[in-house]
Amino acid sequence: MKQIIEVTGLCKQYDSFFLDNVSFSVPGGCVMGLIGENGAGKTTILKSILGLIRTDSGTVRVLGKNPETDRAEIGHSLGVVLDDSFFYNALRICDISRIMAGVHPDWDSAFFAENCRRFSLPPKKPLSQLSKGMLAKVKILAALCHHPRLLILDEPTSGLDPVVRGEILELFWDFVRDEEHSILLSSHITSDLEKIADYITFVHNGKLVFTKPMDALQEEYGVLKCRRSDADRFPDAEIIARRDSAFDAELLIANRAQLFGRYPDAALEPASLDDIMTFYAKGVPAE
Amino acid sequence: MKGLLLKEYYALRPYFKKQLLVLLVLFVFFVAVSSTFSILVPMTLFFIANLMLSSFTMDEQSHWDSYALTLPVTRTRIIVSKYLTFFGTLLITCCVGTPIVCIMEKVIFHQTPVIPAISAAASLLLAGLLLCVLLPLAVKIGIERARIAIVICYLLPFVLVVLVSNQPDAFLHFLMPILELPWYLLALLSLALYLAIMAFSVLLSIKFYKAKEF
Repeated sequence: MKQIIEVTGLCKQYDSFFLDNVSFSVPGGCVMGLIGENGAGKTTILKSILGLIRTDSGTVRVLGKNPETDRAEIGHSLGVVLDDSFFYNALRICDISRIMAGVHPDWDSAFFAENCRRFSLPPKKPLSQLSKGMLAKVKILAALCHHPRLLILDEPTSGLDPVVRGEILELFWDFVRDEEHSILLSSHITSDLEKIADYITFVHNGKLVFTKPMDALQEEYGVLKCRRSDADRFPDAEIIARRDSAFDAELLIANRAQLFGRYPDAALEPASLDDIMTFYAKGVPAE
Repeated sequence: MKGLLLKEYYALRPYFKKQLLVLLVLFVFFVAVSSTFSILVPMTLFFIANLMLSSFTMDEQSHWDSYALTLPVTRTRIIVSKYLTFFGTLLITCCVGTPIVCIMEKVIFHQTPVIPAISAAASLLLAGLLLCVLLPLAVKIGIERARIAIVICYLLPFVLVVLVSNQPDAFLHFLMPILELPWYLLALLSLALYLAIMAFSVLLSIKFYKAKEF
């Protein structure tokens, strides 16, 4: 399968943060979720992929090209939503379509107008007067309407209600229906990723923890709940981290399928992405 | 490039509309006080130059640069579009405003239109030179930190006038060899120097912008 994004040995040093040797690839025709707690390095990774920052070492290839030197070529096939960057808020929705038509040769004004009607977005309203949900939809339409091959999205559904998030996820599903299209999606809303992502890349404290298919994560990872005194009696459990309360212990394990049914007096549940992140961030790593 | 120019226009359009009323009030006041229209084009040009710098503020507020660099545009084009917008607007304003002002000066005050024309041309050159200094500065350190430099740049012409009026002989002695040149040669040299300054400003802004991380 062709790799749409290839990150190899990515390192970036800031004053109080170091992105340490991150490597992963985004295959074509899939949705990859990028997760990690605040300050883990997700935005640094995205900015390196977009060529907004220079890396200290490592290579990044997007659609086979270097994002620092081949900006214009990549930009034609790329749609981006950034959390805190967009057009100035005095611009109207119709202005954005005209600007993008002047930037992208393949800009589809009719598709933009059709989706504005679909989502009840008033074309003559300035961005400053839009609700959060409407603004999120405008950002996504601005990323979609030149029919890119790749979407890179940084918190596209942050702060939105479930109804709007559902509408936006539908747009993403429509986009990846064609297997030529891919999405790299960074989000704290892991429930959205669990619905849509094919792969998950997890970054913690500037280091890559894993890149795995979502199916494998849901099959392999589990939370084993037991009494604290019993926490050491699972020798065949691949324990990654544990969290103890006054009387109980919770163990994040990576071989849930193998342990299924073996310990009837311990609760073994599938681990959600939230569980995985929380255990890595707050749990005690296994020795 | 077309998209970037449109973006500058759409972003500044609401500001133009708001500032027009202020400009009209100032127009009426100055014309009433000075009985000449020759101040109008210079005042408009400096007003516009100041307004153009607001586009940097808007870009910083919306973190536009991060988004722009995900589009199929190069850093060079982003800078060039800024210069085209700024200098193009000044030129259009001067070309449209100067004939109107000259006619009004002749018809209403029965005065020669030469002085308004000269003051408009001189102001265009001066406003352009100011932008040549301020734009690389705004790109390098951001518009908020560049504001002190902006104030100094606006005061420089007045400081120059004071210096020249205090030492007129020294300046004349310095300028005499240049002023003795044929007028067409003088015009060509001035234009070449102006274009060289502008080119240097553009290249410096591009260099600064290429070095930035967002």
